[in-house]
Amino acid sequence: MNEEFALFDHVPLGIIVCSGEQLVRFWNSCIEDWTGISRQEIYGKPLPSFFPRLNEARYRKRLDLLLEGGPPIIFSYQLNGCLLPHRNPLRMERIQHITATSLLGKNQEHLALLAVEDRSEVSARIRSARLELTKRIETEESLRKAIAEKEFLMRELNHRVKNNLSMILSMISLQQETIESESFRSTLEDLDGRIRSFSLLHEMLYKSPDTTNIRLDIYIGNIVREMFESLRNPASGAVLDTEIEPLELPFQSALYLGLIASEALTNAMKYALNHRNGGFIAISVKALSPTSIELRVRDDGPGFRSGFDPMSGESLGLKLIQLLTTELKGELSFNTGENSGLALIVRFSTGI
Amino acid sequence: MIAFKPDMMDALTELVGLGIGKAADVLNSILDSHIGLSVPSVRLVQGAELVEILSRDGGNALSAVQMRYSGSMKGSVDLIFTAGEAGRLVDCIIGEETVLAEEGLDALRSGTLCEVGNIVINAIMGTLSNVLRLHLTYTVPSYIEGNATLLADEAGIMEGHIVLLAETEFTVETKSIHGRIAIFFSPVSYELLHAAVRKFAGIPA
Repeated sequence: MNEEFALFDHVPLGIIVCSGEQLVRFWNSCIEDWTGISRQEIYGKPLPSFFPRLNEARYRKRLDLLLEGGPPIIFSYQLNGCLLPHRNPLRMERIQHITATSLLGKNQEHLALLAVEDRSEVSARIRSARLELTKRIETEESLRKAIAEKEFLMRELNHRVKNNLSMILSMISLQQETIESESFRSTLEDLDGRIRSFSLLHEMLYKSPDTTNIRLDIYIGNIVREMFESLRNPASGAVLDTEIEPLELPFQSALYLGLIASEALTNAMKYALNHRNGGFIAISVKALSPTSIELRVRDDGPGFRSGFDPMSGESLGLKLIQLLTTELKGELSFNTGENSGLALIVRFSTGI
Repeated sequence: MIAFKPDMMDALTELVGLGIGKAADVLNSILDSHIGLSVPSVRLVQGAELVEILSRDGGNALSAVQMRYSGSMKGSVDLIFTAGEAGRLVDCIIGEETVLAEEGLDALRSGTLCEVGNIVINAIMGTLSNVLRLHLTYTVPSYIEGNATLLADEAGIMEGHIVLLAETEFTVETKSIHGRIAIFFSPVSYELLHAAVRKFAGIPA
């Protein structure tokens, strides 16, 4: 036992001390475990006689410099592999990082001190983290592709639905020209308006980068303006005023709200503006709170005729509005002004 | 700060160039791939100026291998890369490509950079100390990651310290990686270097 270096038996590193010709002077217990070579066997023998790779010029030259008092040297695992393997080749290969420094011995001779770090555990953790990261990157990539494909298909589907609805609208329009009955023509006009709401929604969906949410100011704003233009008598001077906040709703809720707005507008045009000059309709959509929305369709017409119960189901339009409000899990109410006018109000929660 | 006359600056550049050439020889003897090191451009800058230069290029992400020296002179020497360049150099040398090249080095890759830095620093400092007859001892190389201020702090840089800054290109196959060698001198060490270079260049005091 070399008492001079006995302290090195207590460090968690492999420690080797060599003198000239790389003769082993100290071999600590840790490196005994890692190599399977006992100190009794190796003391006084050249290190390369046990580890022949150290005979290669690239190692010998650098270690010789160290034994002349040269600066420290690093032997990293990636560039050198395991330089001091276990003598049993079946044992695990350790990830070794070796730092070699020059040391002055008792007799003032230059010695080489090799400190061997075992980075196997760190390296295993790095490997598994890297593997995990690679897997995650691949999963994310395939998810991104799947989403892009789904969005492409959704847009394609919306485009086709919109085209089919346009064809239906053209057929209705052709049919209208051949019909003489005023009431039947009006029924077809109502139907035309409802289908147009659907068509516009699908058009927005295939043109928008977001295939799930709908901007209400654009969607409802467009529907009501388009309907107002097609149904109004240009000579009457009627005015439509819209105030719609840029809120977003999922596809289905936006569709229901759009249908309610177009039914309410159709009713207002039929009963409030009909057979008179001037008049106005105001449509607003606003957030009452972060989770609730109010739609209000107001006109300056005569209001409900005396004795009319809007919830009775007499009018198909109002019946539809009631059903759609129920679908939105909302509340429907009417407000009649003191002198004239009527306001239809739908309030619903977006949190449900 | 005593200025280096042009002749002395030429001599200093020649010495660093010799060291870099020696570093390339050693690297090629131990690596499977051929690595080239370009003739360096050498200048002397104040510590604060070095921090500015490094901040401009590397921002907060620099990777360096550092060794301290003592003996005839005292200070430290760093081989510095931007973190991305350090990752690319290790990738080129070991012939691997990692997805994390921009985000610093793990324990294995920093070990590889340490060995490369150790060879480059030993070769340059070995040449300087042999030719200028300086006796220096070194601490073991350590790997540092961080911004320019942190690197300067780790090097123990203070007001009035001078830095010999050598810039070189590492070329592996078709790729080129920019590296900087910074040798930090205290005012006293700088005067010693000045005197040693003047003597070497045969210029009277």
